Amino acid sequence: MGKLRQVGAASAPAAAPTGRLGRAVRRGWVILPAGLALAVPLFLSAYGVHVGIVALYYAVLGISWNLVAGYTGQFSLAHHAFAGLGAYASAGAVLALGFPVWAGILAGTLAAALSGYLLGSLTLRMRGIYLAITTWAFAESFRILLSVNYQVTRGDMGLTVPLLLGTLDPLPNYYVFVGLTAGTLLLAAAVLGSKVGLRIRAIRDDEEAAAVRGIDVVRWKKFIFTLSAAVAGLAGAVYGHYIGLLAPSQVRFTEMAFIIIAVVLGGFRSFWGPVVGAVVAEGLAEALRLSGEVRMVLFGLFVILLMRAYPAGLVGLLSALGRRLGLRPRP
Amino acid sequence: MGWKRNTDALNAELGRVAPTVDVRSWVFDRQTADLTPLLLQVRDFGPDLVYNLGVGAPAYLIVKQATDVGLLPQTPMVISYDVPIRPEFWQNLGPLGKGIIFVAYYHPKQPLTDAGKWMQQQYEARYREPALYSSFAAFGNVIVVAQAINQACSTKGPDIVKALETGRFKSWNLDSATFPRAEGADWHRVKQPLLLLQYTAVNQPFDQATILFPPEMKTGTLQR
Amino acid sequence: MGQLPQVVAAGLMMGALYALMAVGITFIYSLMKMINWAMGEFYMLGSYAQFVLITLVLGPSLWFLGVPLSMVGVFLLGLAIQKGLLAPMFGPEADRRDEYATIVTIALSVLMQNLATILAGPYQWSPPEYLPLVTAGGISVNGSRLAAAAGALVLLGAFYFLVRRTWLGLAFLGAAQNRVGAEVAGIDVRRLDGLAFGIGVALAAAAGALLAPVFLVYPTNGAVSTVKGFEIIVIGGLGSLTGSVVAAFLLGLVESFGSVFISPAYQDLYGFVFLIAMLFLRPQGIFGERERRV
Repeated sequence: MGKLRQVGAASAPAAAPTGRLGRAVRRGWVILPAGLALAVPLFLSAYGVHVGIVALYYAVLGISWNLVAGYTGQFSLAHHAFAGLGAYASAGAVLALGFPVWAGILAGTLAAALSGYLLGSLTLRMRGIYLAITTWAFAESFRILLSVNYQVTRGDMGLTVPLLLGTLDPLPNYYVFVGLTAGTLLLAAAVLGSKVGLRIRAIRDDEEAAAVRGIDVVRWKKFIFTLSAAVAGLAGAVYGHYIGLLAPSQVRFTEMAFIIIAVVLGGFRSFWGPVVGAVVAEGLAEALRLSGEVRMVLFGLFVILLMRAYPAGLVGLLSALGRRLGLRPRP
Repeated sequence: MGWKRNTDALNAELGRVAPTVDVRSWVFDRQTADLTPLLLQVRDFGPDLVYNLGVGAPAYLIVKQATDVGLLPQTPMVISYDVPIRPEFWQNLGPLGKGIIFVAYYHPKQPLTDAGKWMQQQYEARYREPALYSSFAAFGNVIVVAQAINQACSTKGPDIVKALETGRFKSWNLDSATFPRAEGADWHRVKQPLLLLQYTAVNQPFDQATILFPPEMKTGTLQR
Repeated sequence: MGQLPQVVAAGLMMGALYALMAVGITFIYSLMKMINWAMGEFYMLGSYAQFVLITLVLGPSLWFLGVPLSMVGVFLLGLAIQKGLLAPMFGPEADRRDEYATIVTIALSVLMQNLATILAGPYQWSPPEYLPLVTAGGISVNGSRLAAAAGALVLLGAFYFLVRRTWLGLAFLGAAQNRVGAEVAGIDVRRLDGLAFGIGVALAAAAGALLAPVFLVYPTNGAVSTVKGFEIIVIGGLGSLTGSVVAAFLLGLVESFGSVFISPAYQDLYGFVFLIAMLFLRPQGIFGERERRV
């Protein structure tokens, strides 16, 4: 079962991500994808650009979830709910209190952060299964509350919200999402490369040992929960204002499943995994014109195969390829 | 009357149009599987009519569970869309499907305009079976656009649009359809006649259901 | 309140069915210490199997034969899945077992739901009612629901017999209490894993088969089973079979009373509130034991 252990080794402190990000930038690895990300949409149809936005949205959700689940070992199943909370809170601020859209997004982010803090605090002593079930229960309850209180939220009829940039044209919105993704990557790199990053990894590897070594487990768990929830809320609010319509179906469990799938496809617990996974999952699926159901069958299959045989995911595959081609030094 | 609804706008509209009607609505999450407690409340309200707004599984569950609590078959029930026309309807509900009223856009026995009758004849001559609703709809679209072109005396897009907005057109089921600029959902829209159909026997094929509404197309009376 | 008998009857009947759903999850957990997030999809498979069997082979009057047949089919599938996907969790160097199990079973659930939609379409089906409407003492009860509850009780009884009175059952209990100890005693724990998984999902499939005319047959009908099942196992105590059964009946009653006396719109929320309350007041559940894992 060395294969299962490989996952732990993939993010050994020896190559801290800022170092990795920094090295990647220095080596120019980032230039090509970044260039593509900036230039390609100019040549795509409006629908193609929209697909890019959706991919980036899930990338941001994936990166933030990876922080709390992959790096801190808290397998939260409420991430999609934080995104939904951010979206609906922003809608509430804008529609009911008359905030401008950017202020609404800020409000949404804060609301999600607060919920992340509360949920993190409540689940402090929970491990593995209990944590998963509790977060799942909160997410499902949230969805039901949104749906049943349709007088306030318009439930499944959909809540129309003002547009982000005043236009439905995907292209300008796309660059907002590029900025959002870049910002999230920088934030993740900063966290992971700092002492906080070491602390959360220690918590994941062995919570008791970390506590014994003087790490304030409580504080850092709460911190990472709050931070990742805030990012999710931000992404959810921005996405909500881009689409212009909110519905409780965005908080269904299938959304969380997709986040997990995207992250695992890319490489759970790797820095670039969520981005690669989200882009591949969304982009490739659209390019191949696979129907929604066929997509999910294939993704489910791939995830199962990956977890079983090659947990390092696509990023791991690319790394190995790079090593073999002599482009990267052997570890 | 007791209704089940999930839009307050509709309640308000009903209050305006039929103020003597007492309306109550019950809302449930669409993934709920057990609607019996809710239906018990509906039954206790003693409605004259129950309007089933479930779509998919809830539509069937409401019919089944309403029968369990004794709401059906005494109280007429309207299903809000054409699920009774689907092939699995009788399979799923069996004898419970008798007496169900539902909303449809087409019935083979409904009166057609002369254009519609022409279409029906041509279709049967060519394909040896009665025309489908979708073929009527497509036919209607084509002849309306053709009439608009004639009225505009031009094939340029903006001219055709103007003709459509101001003219009157004959379709397969309407003698004088208009597509005005109006607010919200009525933008460029003509209201299609909604038919209320009722199944009067178990396993009844759809073309034998009685038409209850609109009054000019009625082929039978409400069966309880 | 004249409604009281009806409310209690409804609650207890649902409780029997919930118990069937939950016992499978608990059984698997007690042995393998993992939660199978795809339980609902095995329920769904059972319901489809039952529908196909009744429609094509058995006919409506032999519905009760469809249940064991569906169970057998899903049992075999469960064995295969356990061997292929989950057995590696218990190798000598298994790391982050919970995560692995969660990710794999969630992926499995996504895969099965969508595969079902592709193969069978998103339509809802229902076999004919198992029994006609039953009226007694002023309460009327859906015949199929009553039949399903009766079937559930029969299966729960059979399961109880298996676990408490047969050698195999004792082996399961022993391995659940102390895996290493059982192995030392000469029990092939890995084979037990496979059997337990197979039996657990077969129970879920039984619930699906029994409830096919009640909750209908369609690709996502397993959601009910998963949701209620998880609520129950936490309320009853993870790993406690008695706890699952008791919690199942409690949940049935709570939902029934809540729906009638508070509001039916929140029906699915009562279970969640109950669950969350349990997690904070008594996280080990009613019958569970506090676990220390290092």
